[in-house]
Amino acid sequence: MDVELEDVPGQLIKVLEPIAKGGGNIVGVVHHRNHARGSLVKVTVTFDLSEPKRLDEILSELRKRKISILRMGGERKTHAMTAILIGHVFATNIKDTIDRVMATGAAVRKVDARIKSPEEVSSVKLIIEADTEEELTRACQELKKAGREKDLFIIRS
Amino acid sequence: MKVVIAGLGTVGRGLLKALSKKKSELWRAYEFSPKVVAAVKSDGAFLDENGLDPASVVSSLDGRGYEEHSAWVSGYTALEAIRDLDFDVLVEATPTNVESGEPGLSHILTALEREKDIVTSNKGPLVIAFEKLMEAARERGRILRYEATVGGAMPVFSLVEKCLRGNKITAIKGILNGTTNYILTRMTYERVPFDIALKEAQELGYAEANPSFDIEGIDAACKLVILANAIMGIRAKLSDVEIVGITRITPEAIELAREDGYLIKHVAQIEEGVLEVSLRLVDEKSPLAVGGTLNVVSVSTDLAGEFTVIGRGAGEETVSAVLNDLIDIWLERRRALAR
Repeated sequence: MDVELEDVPGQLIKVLEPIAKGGGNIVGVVHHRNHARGSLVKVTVTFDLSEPKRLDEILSELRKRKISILRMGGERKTHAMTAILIGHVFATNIKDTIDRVMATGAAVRKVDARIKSPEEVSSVKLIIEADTEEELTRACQELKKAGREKDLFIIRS
Repeated sequence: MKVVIAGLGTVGRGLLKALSKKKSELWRAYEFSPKVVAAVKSDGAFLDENGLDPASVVSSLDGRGYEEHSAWVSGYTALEAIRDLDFDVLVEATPTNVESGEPGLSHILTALEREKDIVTSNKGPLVIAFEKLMEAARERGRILRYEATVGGAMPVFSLVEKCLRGNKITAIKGILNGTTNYILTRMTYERVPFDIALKEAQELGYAEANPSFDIEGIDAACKLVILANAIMGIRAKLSDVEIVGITRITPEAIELAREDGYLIKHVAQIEEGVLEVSLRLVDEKSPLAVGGTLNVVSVSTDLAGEFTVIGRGAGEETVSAVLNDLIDIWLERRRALAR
């Protein structure tokens, strides 16, 4: 998790306390002073959480303390889907396809492709992750829509 | 109980064989001794008001000279038999037509008008007119059973009707076509390309010369329509099913799936009122991961949770479902008489 803190003493504890109280085990703290924005500095806090459900509790406490969260790490996304695309996946702009899926808030975690020749269809596997079931459904719908437009055949989990 | 069998393909012929082979067992267990008064083919019928000898009909059909059989009447039609003969139950086993439902639809409606009970292994009439047929049967107090239409020998409807009373069926997921499952299984484990796997299926008699009914997913969609109507109370038609066939699959896609522990299966499902037949990634440890020509149906219920039935979805095993339906009608009618 990346947060932004005032570069004065006593700030870091404001972040660490709620994490510890929420059952988090702090693994590391890194200050990115080269990313400083005025008096604000970016800090990456890494922690393990044996009960992922308590993450919301931690986040709400951090928000209450007006901590600005810049980014949440990858492990947070708990809903995953695998999709295999068959067709001219590259010729129909795979970057655009992936961008459209990501625009729903979901993340494309892995891309694996099998290409026989430029003329033939390719088979491409995407692993898509999302925070919620709804987000995953939206990502799936967007992928289906892109697939229809680009004549891609989609097999999903 | 007097029976008319319309259609002497795998099911009709198989039923005659089973009735002959199990004659004494059926009598001992259920005092069931049906008389087949007519067994009708497309070009004529075997007729005997005192009951045909099923074994002799089967052996004349297996040979070539069935026209020489003493009970054979050339040109006699199923509709004539249903209209004119004295009988109790129609076994409708003519070929499926999902555009008009005929000739099965007229056979069943005519038999219901004459107050006969029905066992059908033919999907066509149910796909075209499920509600109309059930209504007609109800109005006349007749029994219409159709276990063989979905999943062949596998008990699905009887199981839900008789063993899951009080449950609400919330979702259904399954593999309802053995031909496509065979093709996908061959592609997965033998790395055979699609066209070769299809040819094999045709040579083994699993697929028709025109395989589009299977590989385009229409057969599975028809079965899904019957499931939706019969056990979920959804008045769906074939045009309500989102159907995607299997023809665009590649061996590379199967490889990519397997690397993550998935199999690619042609899955038919009803979820939140949506009927869909499509290729899906199925966890190789899932109960849906059945191979070869096997069929599988997983039913989600509110009380019993999820349960799965796996079995023979086509072929001569289908006779088992037809015979069970027939015995069921016999027992039900006998109980009614005793009251």
